[in-house]
Amino acid sequence: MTATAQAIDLAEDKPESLWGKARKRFFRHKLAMFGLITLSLLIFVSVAAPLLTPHSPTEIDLRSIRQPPSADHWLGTDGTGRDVLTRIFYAGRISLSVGLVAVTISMIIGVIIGSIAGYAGGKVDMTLMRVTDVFMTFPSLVIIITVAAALGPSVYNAMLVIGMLTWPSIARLVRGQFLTLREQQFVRAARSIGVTRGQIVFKHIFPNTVSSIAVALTIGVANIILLEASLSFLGLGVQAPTPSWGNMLRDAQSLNILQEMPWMWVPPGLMIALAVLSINFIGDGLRDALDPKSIH
Amino acid sequence: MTTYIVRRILISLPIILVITVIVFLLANMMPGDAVMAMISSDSPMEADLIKLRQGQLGLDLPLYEQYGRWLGNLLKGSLGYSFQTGEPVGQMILTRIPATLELMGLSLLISVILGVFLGTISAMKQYSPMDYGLTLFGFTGISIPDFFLGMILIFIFALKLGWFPTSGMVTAGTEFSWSDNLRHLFLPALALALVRTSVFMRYTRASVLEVINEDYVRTARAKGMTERVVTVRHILRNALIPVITVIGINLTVLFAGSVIIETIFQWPGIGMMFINAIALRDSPVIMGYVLISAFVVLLANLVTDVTYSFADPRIRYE
Repeated sequence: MTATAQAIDLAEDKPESLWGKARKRFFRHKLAMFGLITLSLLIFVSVAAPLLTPHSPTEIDLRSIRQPPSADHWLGTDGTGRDVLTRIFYAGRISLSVGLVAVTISMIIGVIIGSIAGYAGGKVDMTLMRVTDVFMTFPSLVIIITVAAALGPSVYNAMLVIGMLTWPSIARLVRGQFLTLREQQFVRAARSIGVTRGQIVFKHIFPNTVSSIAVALTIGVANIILLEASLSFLGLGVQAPTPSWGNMLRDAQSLNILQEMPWMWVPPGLMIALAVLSINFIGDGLRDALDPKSIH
Repeated sequence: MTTYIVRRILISLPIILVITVIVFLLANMMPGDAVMAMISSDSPMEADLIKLRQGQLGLDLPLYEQYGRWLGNLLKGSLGYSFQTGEPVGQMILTRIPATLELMGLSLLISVILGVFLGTISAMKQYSPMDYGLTLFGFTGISIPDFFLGMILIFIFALKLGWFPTSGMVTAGTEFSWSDNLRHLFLPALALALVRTSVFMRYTRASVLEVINEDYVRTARAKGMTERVVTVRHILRNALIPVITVIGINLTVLFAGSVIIETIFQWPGIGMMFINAIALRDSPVIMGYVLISAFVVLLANLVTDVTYSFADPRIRYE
């Protein structure tokens, strides 16, 4: 890249800005770009669903049950005559928003617990980490299934349950970062000139953890979409008639549908894989961009 | 080492106790109870009969008393009785756990061998088309939901090609034979293994890349060792140590994954028992299963740490 191009590219930053470099590394990452474009498309079709399709995602049409793909129904219809493509678009809204909301809950809890444990250290750290251990002891899917069944299956409970049970890994990450950063020279220097504790935490330590949290959260969204799909597949997440990619696969479990009507289950399955794959690609790109030292 | 193991077990006890409380509360928070779940519209029950049945099952007692009874029985070695069939939960788990262990065992075997093998190739040929291909395979592996993978495998290998049965553990109505059992086992084990394969592959690759430039590897080459000996004796022996931890962590993921795979393939292990119990609100069975799974996790962590210290003599636990 020539000097002028670089200057234009980084117009707002100083020429050697760390973020500018990271951004450039990210946009050069081919897989991450593929992920970003695919994910944008997925978000677009789910947001613009009513404009893209004339069918309703929930309305039952008994005259057109289990029709194979045709000009009117591009991906055919399901067991109650609903258009599969339409349901896939609308399901994207549910799956993606469960991912976003749950990861936000998980991040808030994880960051708070992790930073308190990491900054305070000593007994506070020990107690909080024991609690985290208890949460980590459960195989997460088993406990998520149990809690979802206890609370009663719904979209909101799925968000809540997944968010409340996926924070331990983020808490551990943040705690680890705080433990290291706390002893760094720049933090000691800040402390020595009398900067208040709040300012040290928020102005000096926290900003340095943002990049690794960002990577963890991206991967987190991918895993949460998988969890929600599994829950809905087992009938403990999003409930009919609201479509989600997971419960569309649940509806197609009989061997007859599996064998004779692949249009009912292959597309929603591919959508889950595509969404998760592109988010994982973005996460990988972020990691490479933000942490150039990591071996890849 | 013995002191370390004993101490680790003692530290785990309070965690297990906390877990029992949480599990108990959860199982009892479920809407409806076992008596209600038994009633269907075609077998209506009188209100006082419902009361009586609830009394027999101890469902009318205050929660803490129910918990006390459950914990007391647990200490005596009893996990209680299924609300649905009256069978002892311990017995139910014992008869079903071999199926789950068989499934987990084969998946672990497939995924470790395949994962380590592919990961090593990927690292030795870094930046080759092969490496890129395997990296993409790895990403796809962690992104495909295991139940979708299971359905694809059934569709292709059971329904279209007819090579394997679609579900179950043995062919109904025939005498048990290992070959028949293994034919039933293959597809679910493969579905469960593929996700883990990509995880092990990615870690092996990173780990091999880390040791590949070490001085001792160069020394081994310099003194004329064949490439095979260098790879196996010098690179892999060191690179696989951190992979042990990853395998340990994944034991618990494998355990959880078996819940879904067993449901799809109707594999009669404890995962399927758990999902059925969830549907029927059979809380003693649910509690029994969750407790067992917590044990499995704690045990897996312990075994991992101990194996780790044997594999890497630099690590010493006090």
